[in-house]
Amino acid sequence: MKAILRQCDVLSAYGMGTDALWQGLMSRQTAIGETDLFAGRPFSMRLAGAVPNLSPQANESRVRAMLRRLLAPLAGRLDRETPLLLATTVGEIEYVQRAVEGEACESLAAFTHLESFVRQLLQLDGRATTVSSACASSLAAVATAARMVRQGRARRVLVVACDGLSELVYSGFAAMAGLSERAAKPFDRSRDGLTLGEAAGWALIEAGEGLPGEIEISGWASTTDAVHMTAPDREAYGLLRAINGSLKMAQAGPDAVDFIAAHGTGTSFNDAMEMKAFSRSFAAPRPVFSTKGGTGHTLAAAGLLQIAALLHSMREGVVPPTVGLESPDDDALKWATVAARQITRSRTALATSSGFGGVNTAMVLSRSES
Amino acid sequence: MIAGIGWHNAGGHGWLRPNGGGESGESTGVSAPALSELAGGAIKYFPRLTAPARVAMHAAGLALRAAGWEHAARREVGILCGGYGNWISSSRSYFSDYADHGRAIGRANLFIYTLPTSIASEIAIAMGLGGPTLHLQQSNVMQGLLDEAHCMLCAGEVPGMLALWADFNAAVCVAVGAGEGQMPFDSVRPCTHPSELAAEIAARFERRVS
Repeated sequence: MKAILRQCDVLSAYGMGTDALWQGLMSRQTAIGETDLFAGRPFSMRLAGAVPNLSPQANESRVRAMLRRLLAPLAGRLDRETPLLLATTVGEIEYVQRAVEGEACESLAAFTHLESFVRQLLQLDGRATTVSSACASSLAAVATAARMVRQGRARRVLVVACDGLSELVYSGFAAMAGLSERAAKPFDRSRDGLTLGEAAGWALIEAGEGLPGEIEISGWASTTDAVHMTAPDREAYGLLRAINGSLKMAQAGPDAVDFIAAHGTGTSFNDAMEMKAFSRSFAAPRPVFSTKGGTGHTLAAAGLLQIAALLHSMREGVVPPTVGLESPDDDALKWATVAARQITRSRTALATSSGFGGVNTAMVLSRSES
Repeated sequence: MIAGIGWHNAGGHGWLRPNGGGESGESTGVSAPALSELAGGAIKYFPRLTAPARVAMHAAGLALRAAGWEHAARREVGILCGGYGNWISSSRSYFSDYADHGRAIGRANLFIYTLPTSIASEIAIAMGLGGPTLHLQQSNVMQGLLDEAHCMLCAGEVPGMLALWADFNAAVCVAVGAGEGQMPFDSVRPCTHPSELAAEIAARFERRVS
């Protein structure tokens, strides 16, 4: 049995829907802007990829506000027993912040509360599991869903991914000097850091035969660098092993990959590491894009944004530009481009995510043909 | 199948090999030499490890010893972790420190522990585990971790996995492998807390050696 990616949707700084994401990326205009979320805080920069017009209800987390908007069209449409995989790095971390400020609400940060909220929104009463693997969380969750479907443990699985902007995470990245003072510029020779964003997304993975036009999650692999808590392995062995593992599972050689939806954070080390892995994996450059110059780095939701854009690419035969990219770094020349590119073949794509702790997940998605 | 178990709680620590063998000891603080011996090399960042991270790393190292997975064999082994509390507590520590110092700048060495996978990542670095690192939160934690580890093995994604259930001062780690002559999963019956499971495993060990 094959694991088919049946449907997905996202809410990002570009607004609601995968079309908004795609059009935003294709416009080459960033959705990153000044945010007043951290007004009064002494950060040297105030840039973020915030979801527009997000108005959390009283005491509601930003994640819940995003999920409420994103999931409303899906409510009541799924079988009640559909298993839920929730992908997040820190969930409703605002409750920890409020606890420090004196509210007795720290226990609400536990993932089980967010799982319950999603299940209630969607009227689900099946098994719920939170999957967290730093910034590779959503690809790891989609891989877990695909495994469940392939092994016959579930007929369909819903993956919901989300992370909201928070002072805790923003201040942490600022402390590590990881934030750029301008919108992120993935793969650019002048890149100097990432921009945080927020997003939510869902994907429905179902068992199927792989009928013409269907998108199969045909391979995946997760690895750990086991080198450093925050910096990637500069030799890229972890991501390289993940790419090789995903291709092996997909029973595809490197030549089969038509384009790549990369993690592309805009940090010096991440992008260099990714390009090293790509150049070692593929004999010739493949079109590569990153969404993060447009949406910001949306942490656990990043992988689903990549997948959403990747599906548009497959459908339209166009690889979007990397927003923010002006002058590709030497190692990214002929891979990442300033403008969109028409591609003659868009049957197989690779998505990659990496994160803190040296985690990596690579995933191969293939469009079935008659 | 279970290839080995390591545990650490208030009552003691130890490891247990399914086909015989094991050791147990009293509960003491986890020392750098003890972890280094299990890791096969110095733990470079031992001073920054939180107390729960040391306990979890100790249990993981003991499970690797029980399974007989030497350093060279760990490159593809992954780690699934579960348990409430540690990352929330660490997040609170980070944010308290940041708030107490005027919200000017946080401490990166505290921030890196604000993820549910932070402790597992430290274990992966120390023990040389190059497979997947995932946190899974669900009801019936240990059984869920074991089931998913087993499914990853069956899918051919990994040759072995550690299933780590950790809390503030107790941790149980089960090495899941594909070899023969190992314990079935139901030998680790559902418990409500890692300390409870550690105590049960310790009691089983005592029965075996007595």
